[in-house]
Amino acid sequence: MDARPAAAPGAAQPAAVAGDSPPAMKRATPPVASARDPARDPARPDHDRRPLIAISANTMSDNGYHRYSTSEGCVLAVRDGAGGVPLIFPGLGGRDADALLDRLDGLLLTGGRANVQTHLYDGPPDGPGRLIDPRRDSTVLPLIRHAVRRGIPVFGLCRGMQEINVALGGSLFVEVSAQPGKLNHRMTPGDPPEKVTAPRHWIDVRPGGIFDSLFDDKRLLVNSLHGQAVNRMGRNVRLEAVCEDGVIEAISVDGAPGFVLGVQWHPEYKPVEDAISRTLFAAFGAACRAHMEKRLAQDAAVAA
Amino acid sequence: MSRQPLIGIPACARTIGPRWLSHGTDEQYVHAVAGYTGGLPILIPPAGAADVADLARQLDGLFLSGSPSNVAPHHYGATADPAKAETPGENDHGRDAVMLPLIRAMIAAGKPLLAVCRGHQELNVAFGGTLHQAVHQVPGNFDHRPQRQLPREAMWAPRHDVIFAGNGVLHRLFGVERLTVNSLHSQAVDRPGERIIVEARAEDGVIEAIRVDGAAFAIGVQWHPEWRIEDQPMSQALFGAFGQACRDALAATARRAA
Repeated sequence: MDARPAAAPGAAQPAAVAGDSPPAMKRATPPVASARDPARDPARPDHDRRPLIAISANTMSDNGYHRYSTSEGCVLAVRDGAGGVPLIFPGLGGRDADALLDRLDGLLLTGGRANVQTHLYDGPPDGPGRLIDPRRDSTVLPLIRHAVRRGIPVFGLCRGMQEINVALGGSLFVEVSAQPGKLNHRMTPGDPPEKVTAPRHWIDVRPGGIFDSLFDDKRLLVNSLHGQAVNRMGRNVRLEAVCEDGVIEAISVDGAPGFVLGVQWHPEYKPVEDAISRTLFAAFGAACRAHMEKRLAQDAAVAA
Repeated sequence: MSRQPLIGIPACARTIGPRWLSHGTDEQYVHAVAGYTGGLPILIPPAGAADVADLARQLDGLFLSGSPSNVAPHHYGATADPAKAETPGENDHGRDAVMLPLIRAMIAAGKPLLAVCRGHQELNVAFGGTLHQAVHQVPGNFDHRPQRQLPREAMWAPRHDVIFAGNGVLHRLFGVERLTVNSLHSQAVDRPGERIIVEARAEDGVIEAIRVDGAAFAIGVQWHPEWRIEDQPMSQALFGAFGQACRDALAATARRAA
């Protein structure tokens, strides 16, 4: 027991608003191995180990105290969807980015109410009252650059996808729904959670990328709860899927040595039950597992 | 190989608004570990006891934080006051489920552990000890609870002395007989668990610090040494010693991998 008051209602800002996915697809993706029952190879000494997957933390203010936290949905998506051991990395800046990545097998970059600060991509000045999270920005952006360079798997959800783009030199629309000809990509305040997180619009999968290889269906129905969106794509950023109104909905990185994927929606809301989410988290988890095997072998070799 | 130790900190559950559950911890814990141990703080959300074996293998140290929640009394054979058990945030069953076995697994693996406030109580429970659920109601005890009417800095200020046991780890580390510490707790260690050695008491007899006998480094303190650690040389020494123990554990793990 310490001096912290019980959570003051309304004092904390929600970290991430989770999303839903379509209840059924026209054609189901191939079933993936259950994350809790990974294929085990007794010849491998590390067959029972699971990858360490670190989730970005949002910085929350509550009654004058600051707290690093993430949503339960993202924790469970790592455990049940990706088959990893979920960890959370706090917003301490980029100083120890490489040292931290020495110990991890993947990064899950979550959504968040706060926006990426516009000065990080030469956008218009952040107006007063705009929610920002400088601790998260200063931590996540360098981590992304190091992880992409080193081949450590990265999966970005919503704000996390926007961070991947900004880390690689791209820019964002501050309010994409205000652009001419765009759908409303935001949630409607006051709607019940089931409606907020329900699938909203179609996206088209572009040929030749990760999405094309993972999904037989080339049109997918996804949820939508965002203000910002990718504008100019960063260095080597590849378009993976696009909304019917032209908004960029998924990206990867051309020539990256490891798995890098960003999606503009929230697959963590139903990481296992929903077929699209399950496929995405399984692909991320498999990449993290492959990285873990490489990391443990390297650690043993360095120690020898 | 000059690597930095990976130091776990529990992420506690907090409900935000009517629906969203979040897992996180306060900056005071993260910043003390980042600034004064030389390690890399990483939060451990309560994803279940299945993670314990992986965590005990991959972490080099565990820092058990304070929290508004209390260890659920059934873990030490007590029953909860029904009114209290219903209070939102009184328990954090997810934290209990991971941390109690993780404490034992870390110690079995020879890895260091520093525990404060709820963490100190958790350490005792993990070894079979019990807790006072309202230590201020024990006759003769003074009120150890946070003085919520005070401004924040005053509420966290040093408030009473603790007296170190001769030849204890903390007595040697601090090099003093007594230390004035802050006090923001309503529960306290009652019966020490197996292998739990009392390191310090307050003047009213309340157990203020413990260690695990035979562990490389496993210390619990009832106060909050992380608070304003930049102004507290003794707290810096405690976190520094913990950090050194974590580096030693990392080096030992690397030797075993070779």
